[in-house]
Amino acid sequence: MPEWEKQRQWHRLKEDLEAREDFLAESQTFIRHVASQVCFRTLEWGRDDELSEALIAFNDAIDLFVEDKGVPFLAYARVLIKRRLIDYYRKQRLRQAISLDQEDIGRGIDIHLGIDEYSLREQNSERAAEIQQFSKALSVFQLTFQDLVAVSPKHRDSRETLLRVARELALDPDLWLQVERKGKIPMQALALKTRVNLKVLERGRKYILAVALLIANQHDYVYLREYVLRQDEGVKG
Amino acid sequence: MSKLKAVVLEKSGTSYTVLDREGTFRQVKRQINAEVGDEIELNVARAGFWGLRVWVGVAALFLMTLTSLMGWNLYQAPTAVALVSVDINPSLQFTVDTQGRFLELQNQNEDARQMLTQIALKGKPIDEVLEKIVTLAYNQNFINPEHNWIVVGYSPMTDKSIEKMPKELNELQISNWVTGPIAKKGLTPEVAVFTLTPQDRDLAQKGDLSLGEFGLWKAAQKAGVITESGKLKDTTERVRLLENPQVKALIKADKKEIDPNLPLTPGTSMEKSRALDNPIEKGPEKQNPNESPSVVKTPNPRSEKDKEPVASQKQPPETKAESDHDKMNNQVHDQVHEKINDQVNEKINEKVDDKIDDKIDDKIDGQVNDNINEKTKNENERSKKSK
Repeated sequence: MPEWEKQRQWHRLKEDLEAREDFLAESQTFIRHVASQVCFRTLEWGRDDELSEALIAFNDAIDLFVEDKGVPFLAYARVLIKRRLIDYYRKQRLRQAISLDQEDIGRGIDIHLGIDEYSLREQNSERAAEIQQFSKALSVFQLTFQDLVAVSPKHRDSRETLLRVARELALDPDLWLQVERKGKIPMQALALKTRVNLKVLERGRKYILAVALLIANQHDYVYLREYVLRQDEGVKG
Repeated sequence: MSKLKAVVLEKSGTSYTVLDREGTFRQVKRQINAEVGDEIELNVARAGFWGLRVWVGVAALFLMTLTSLMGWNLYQAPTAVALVSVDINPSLQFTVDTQGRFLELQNQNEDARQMLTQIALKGKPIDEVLEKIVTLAYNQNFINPEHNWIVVGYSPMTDKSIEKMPKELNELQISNWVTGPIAKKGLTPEVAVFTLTPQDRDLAQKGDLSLGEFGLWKAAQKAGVITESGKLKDTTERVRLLENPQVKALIKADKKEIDPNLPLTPGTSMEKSRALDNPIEKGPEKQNPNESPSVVKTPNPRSEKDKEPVASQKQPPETKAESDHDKMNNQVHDQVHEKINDQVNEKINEKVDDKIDDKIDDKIDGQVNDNINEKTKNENERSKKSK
């Protein structure tokens, strides 16, 4: 499990500079990932100013985040990063780079969006973006949401088994690399790793793949992955 | 019915495709106007379903428990609480449940087996069972004026089942039940009812005796009448013991010990035992235990009144007939006392006479010896002098 997924002591992060520095260092991948998505290009630390803006936004997110609000920290941080970059591009008059938030362009964006102001509408919008991305990712594997409804396990025990298998698949770099390269799950290896019967894995193949997609692309599905992780495994921030 | 949060993934016609918080992709009916990405709350029937399942489970469990209990009770209902034996010959022994109903035969001799093929007793109340057995025995001439003894024994199966025993199962009732049907036909049978303990029952079973036989053997032992328990299977031996005055007296005494206040009703064992009373009320105490019962010659206390039909015997305890019995008892009592006294006196006189004779003999012998000695002495002195 990635370090950033662990339960954070937000109070300590806000007061202890050293802990905050460590957390910022750990989150650089996420910051870069979000910033690159917004800018539609791969950004590099030390070369692109957008990453500095994104890092400032992420740091602000730590200060403004309130754990009890029930919003994932990364989702909140992502919104702040996006807003800060939009503001940055507005200043740079490079609006073409911002496509996802066209509706925000016309109205003035408050880059210091407080957690209380992080409205339901914005969360829904974030989720919608994730869903759109998830739908595209599924289509690569010739999967649709309807397929997933059909194969979704109905019984709790089998669902928990398949969720566990998907999680192990997503968090195993070698296995997941095989999925990304070959476009299919290495069933034998997965059966050996998880000690789950091959027939069970075969029956739940589509479901495992969809869930593994959500878990493996942790920076893309900040909202959706919460639906497939158990509550005790959920990412609070 | 609980709520489950889900995110709308897709809208299609009248339904949404959602991903719920448990990781299930599902199709739900479009109830509110939600957009893709909106988080909605599902009224999951699952919760109700589970609730229903729990309730169904509880109900099933309750039903199972109830059924088991009922089944157990039904199974428990015919538990034997008492064992009853009837020895006429035929001899049989059967168990009775808490309701006083016939459960099953435990032992029966050949005559009983043949006799019982004609009647079905299972589930019948004890009074009906005894009446049927006695009536059938009478009809088949097992009971007749020459053989008119009915020995009944009963005991609880265990110490715990004493309280569960049917209340109507007592000596008085049993005696009534077995006497009644035959008395109607003009014959008054002689009834001996023995109440035994579970421990007695065990001993009887070990000795291969029926409860009645064991009760009789016990009474005979107590009365000092020696008999082999094995012989009690023989009707003649049973009758011999039952006719023995000491045994009769003891049976009567035992009955008084059990319930001295029992009312005397016609045809009851109490009445019978009183009617068949041994004139020597304290006979067993006075009787030499080593003496054979056949040696004891006591007048038969049965009077003609005892042989009268049952209807004529319906008198309260303090009646004239009763006082007649007492008078007769007293007379016999006195006679026996006189006899015994005579015998004792005779023996004492004999002994005294013997002793007196012995003393006289001794004295005479002593005097004779002294005289002889003196004579011898004198003769010796005379011879010396002459010399």
